[in-house]
Amino acid sequence: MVRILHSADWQMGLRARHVAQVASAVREARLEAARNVIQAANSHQVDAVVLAGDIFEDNLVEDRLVHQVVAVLEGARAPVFVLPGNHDALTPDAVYHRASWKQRPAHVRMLDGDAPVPIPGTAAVLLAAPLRQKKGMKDPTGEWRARADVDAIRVGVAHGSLRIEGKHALDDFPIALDAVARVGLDYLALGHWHGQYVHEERTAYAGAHETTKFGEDGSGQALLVEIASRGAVPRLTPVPTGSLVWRTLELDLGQDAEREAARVLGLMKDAAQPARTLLRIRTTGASSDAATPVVDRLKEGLLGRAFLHVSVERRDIPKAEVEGRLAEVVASSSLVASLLEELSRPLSPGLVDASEAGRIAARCLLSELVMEAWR
Amino acid sequence: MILRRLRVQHFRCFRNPVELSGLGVGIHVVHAPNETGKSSLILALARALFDRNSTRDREIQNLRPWGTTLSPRVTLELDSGGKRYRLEKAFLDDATSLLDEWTGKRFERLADSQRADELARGFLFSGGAQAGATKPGQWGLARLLWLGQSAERHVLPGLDTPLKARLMEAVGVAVLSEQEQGVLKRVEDAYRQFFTLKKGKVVTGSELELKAALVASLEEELRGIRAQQEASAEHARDMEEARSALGDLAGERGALEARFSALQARVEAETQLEQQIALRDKDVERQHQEWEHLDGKQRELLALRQNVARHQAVVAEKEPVLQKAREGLIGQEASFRQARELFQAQLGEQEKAEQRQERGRLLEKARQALVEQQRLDGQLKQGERLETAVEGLRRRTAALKTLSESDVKRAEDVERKLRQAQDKLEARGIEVVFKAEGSRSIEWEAEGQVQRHELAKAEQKLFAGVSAGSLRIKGVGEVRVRTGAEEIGNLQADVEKFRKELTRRLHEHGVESPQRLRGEWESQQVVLQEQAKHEGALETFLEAAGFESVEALREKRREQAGKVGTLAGQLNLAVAALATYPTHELVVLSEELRLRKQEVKEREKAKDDAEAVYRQVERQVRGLAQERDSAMQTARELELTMKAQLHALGMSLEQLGAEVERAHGELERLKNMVTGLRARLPRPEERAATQRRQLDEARERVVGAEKKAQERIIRAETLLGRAAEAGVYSRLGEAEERLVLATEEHLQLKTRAEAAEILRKLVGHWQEQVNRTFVAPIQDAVHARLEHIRGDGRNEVLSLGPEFIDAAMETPDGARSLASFSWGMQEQTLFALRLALGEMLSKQGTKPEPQLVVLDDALVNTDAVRHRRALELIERAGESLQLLILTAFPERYRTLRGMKEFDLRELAQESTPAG
Repeated sequence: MVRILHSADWQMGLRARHVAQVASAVREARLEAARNVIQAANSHQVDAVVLAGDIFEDNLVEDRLVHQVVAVLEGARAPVFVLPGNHDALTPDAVYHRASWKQRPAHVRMLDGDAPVPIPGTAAVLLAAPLRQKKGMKDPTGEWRARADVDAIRVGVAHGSLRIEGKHALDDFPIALDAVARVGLDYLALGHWHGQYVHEERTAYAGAHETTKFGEDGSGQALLVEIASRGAVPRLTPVPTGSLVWRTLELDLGQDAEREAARVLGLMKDAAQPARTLLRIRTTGASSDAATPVVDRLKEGLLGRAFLHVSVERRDIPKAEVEGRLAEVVASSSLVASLLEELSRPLSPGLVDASEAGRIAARCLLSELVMEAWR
Repeated sequence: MILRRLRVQHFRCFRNPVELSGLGVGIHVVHAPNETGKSSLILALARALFDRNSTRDREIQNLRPWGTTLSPRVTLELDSGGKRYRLEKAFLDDATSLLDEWTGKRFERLADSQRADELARGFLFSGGAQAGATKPGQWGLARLLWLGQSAERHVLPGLDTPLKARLMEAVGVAVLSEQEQGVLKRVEDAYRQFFTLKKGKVVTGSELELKAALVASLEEELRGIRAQQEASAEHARDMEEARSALGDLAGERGALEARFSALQARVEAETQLEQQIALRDKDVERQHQEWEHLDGKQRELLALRQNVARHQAVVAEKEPVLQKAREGLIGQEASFRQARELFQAQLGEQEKAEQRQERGRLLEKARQALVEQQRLDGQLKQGERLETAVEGLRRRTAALKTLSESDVKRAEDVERKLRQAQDKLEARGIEVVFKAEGSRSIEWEAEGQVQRHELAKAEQKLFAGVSAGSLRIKGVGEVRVRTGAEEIGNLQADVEKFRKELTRRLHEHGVESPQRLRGEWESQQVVLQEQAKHEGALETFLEAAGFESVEALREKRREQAGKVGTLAGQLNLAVAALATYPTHELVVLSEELRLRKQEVKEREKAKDDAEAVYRQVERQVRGLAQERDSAMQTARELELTMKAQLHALGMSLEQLGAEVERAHGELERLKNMVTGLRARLPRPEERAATQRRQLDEARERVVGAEKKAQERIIRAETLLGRAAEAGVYSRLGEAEERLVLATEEHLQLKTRAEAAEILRKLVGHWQEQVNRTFVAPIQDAVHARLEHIRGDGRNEVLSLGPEFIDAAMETPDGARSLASFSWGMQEQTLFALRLALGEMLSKQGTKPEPQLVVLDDALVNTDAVRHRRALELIERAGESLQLLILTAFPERYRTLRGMKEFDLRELAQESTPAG
């Protein structure tokens, strides 16, 4: 019997351009999630923690971060096995060659060779496929050979994409789907995909321990792997580890925008831990000129409720016709009517050099100025 | 707004109150001579309507009558919006502003102070001034309707928003609502937030610019960090390469060291052999030196011996040749001497012939000189003869008393006059005839001269031509006659005068009569002519002979005689013998000399040839003797040297030969020994030492490369460490994130800026359209009036800008600014504009109201015909407008029907307090 906590893709030092406003908070959360992994390992009293690559985002990360990671790993009661992935490949400048990493405790071991590594106190060995470059077309598990004479539980640890149609790229270290059968593995612990994914019982991606972006399903957890004996089917149990919540909210502007905004606001009224929640508002439907201020107000309202991050993704289509208060103004003002008409004609003389975004923004601005003037 | 009453006091030239009253719709002509306050009236009206009563601006202070501290005061009554108002305004010390409204019975206070000022400004849509006094540009409708005297008289008035709104209302163009104006202003503000109004450039220091700059700087920063990252990657690659190279080099070094150990034994054996060879090489060298020394000595002595023999052979060979040469020399010497003697004899012959020829030449020269001398003698004789004649004539002429023809003529003239006078006297003077009866002695005394006559019997004596005379008849008595006639006296005086003059002239030349005098002169002329003839002849002679004077000829002749004498002396002959001395022809003598010279030349050549042969033989003999002596001497010396050297060696030449043989044998033996030893060594390139050296070099190279690779690794590690320390990665992440944020914000701003720009452009287009609608009727109205004034034939049309600025006249050649036209054209256009605007405001729109139009000295540059047409327009306008015309020439407006006339001077005088 061997019990392993399988995690991967910590990507410490993540570059978070997509949520630039809260990039440092997002980075900090990944360290927090790592602590969660170690805590889970301790609480489940595992025999080993296997980190299947990409512990660091890049080999150039600062020593301060390396020290922080080492400090987290230090807290593990079981040995921790670290595999170099494509982000932290075992190149001459690898972070794992640094003095800061070499100062790690003895139970934090590198999976940097071809030889099987026994898990102390168990009848299991780890077969590692450390990556030595950022990209590669070769199957990292390709060198592993079947051994009929071994009774030990054999656990492969690799980093790359399972060769599943549409889910991998050629230079993404493609891993053959029959690796487990070919080598005679009891379990293949993989890293690279951020969403947790189990393939035919014995192969699994644990997923990133912390979500990196909106829409990344299955991330924010680790995998508890329990193998009773050589040849037994492993028992896989997901273990939540993430510290941030990433939510996407749909806002249908084809409806009454105000009411829709109120609905969304109501939806998030009782959200747990807003300070650890990142929100994305995605607008849909045909919107009127009055929609933009509504969306802006909704965003402000959510930020006012201390959500860590609120972003708006406009996917609505602006309506050509004028509605509401603006329609009333148009009826009474030849100036406003004329300007709106010009703005609705992309080929009008004033719009020859204008971009589509500029034209839409001009209509928006006009609407805003008119509303101010008629207030 | 129209004016009903205007009262001005303490205002510039109006110290006392002046009032215009009874004003209404129609034409009012206020006239006064220039500088008597017409324009001050209009200024007072403007100050009252537009200026704050409290302002103490210098402009207002200048309104006080000169030298006083009085407060300018204006009261006016006006109709506006169907109501009547009264405005009382005083400035400076008594500053007040009171506005009353007519209730139908009396005026009641509507407002005072600032509020009153504000309401007053509203009558003509003036915004007033922010501070100080207003400028004409701030006078609202007045600026449009009043054609004043200000400096801006010829400038088209501009429009502000309220004025434009009022005009738009009048021409029926929809006026913008307050909200619409608000939108326009907001669009402008939104644009101005990002761009400059004039050039449309991004506003310096604006958020847009700052954000763009931030994006640019972040991009730059990012590029820098990426470069650092790339540099780190480069270091990593370098390190990897160096590590790989280091591995290869270690293997290479190991292989080299193994080969090195294997070579060691062979190297020692080869070294020993090489040492033996080196020792033997030294022996060979030493033996070689010894052999070389002996061999050299032997060669030297043999060469010496050979030399001695050679020189002795030369001596033997030269001796008979020398003997024979000496014999030849003697024969040549005799021939040479004989040729020399023959040459000397021939040379004497030549000298003699030369002397003969020289004498012949001298004699010929002397004879020629003699002939020349004889020719000169002839010439000299002729010259001397002529000279003597000239001298004789000159002496004669010098002796002559100079007498000119004029002298002769003058004497003859006096004589003629005397004769004439005497003739006249004789004819007219007293005539006394005495006829003696017997012989009688008589004396006739007249003019103081006594003539005695002895008369025979019956002889008659006539005395005539005197004025008075006395005839004394001896023994008879004296008869005195005289006449008192003055004419006779004068004639007598003339006769006397001429007679005296003639006598004087004749006396001067020592002759008795003029005839003698002429004879004298003629003989003198003959002598002078002769002298001239001789002088001419002498001159012609000298010219022909080529001499300046006879003296020069004489000198030349003397010279020639000397020359002849000298030549005769040289020839040792008397001059007389020169001509007769016999001689050969010079040609014959020359021919003889030529023959002699030819002979001498032949002799000389023969002598020279003989001498050359002799000298050659002599040199030959001397050379042979020297060669023989030198060879003998050298042979002796060489023999002595050889003997001395052999003595020094202490052996004979034969013994020395044997010694050389021995040394050479020993040398050959040693050489063979060395060759044997060398044969035991491998070829240089195959020797162990060579291979070891190559291995050493290769090892050194490998060690160097290893060192370099290690240095590269250390360097790369250090640089990577530094990059990690410098936080390149985290800085990159943060910079990227900041750039994303900044780019997003910049994009938002840019989009908003573009939106503002688009809106502004659209608003601009809209305004252009509106302006076109608004300006066209005003242009038409102005054009109609201008056309009336100017009559037919002119087709310029006024074109106005939306704010009235940029006015131009559309001509067939394109638009020309109004300012480029004549003063007359400008003032007519501005006049027409005032009338057109006034009439529009009075008749059109939702709030038509009569307006006050002021024409202060308008149309001064307009001719009479056009002025008359302008008056027609004024008359027509007077039906709906209040026209206030100020002029110094009221007669120009006298034909206007229904106008009211005000004599400003009279009005001012009326108000002056009596006394």
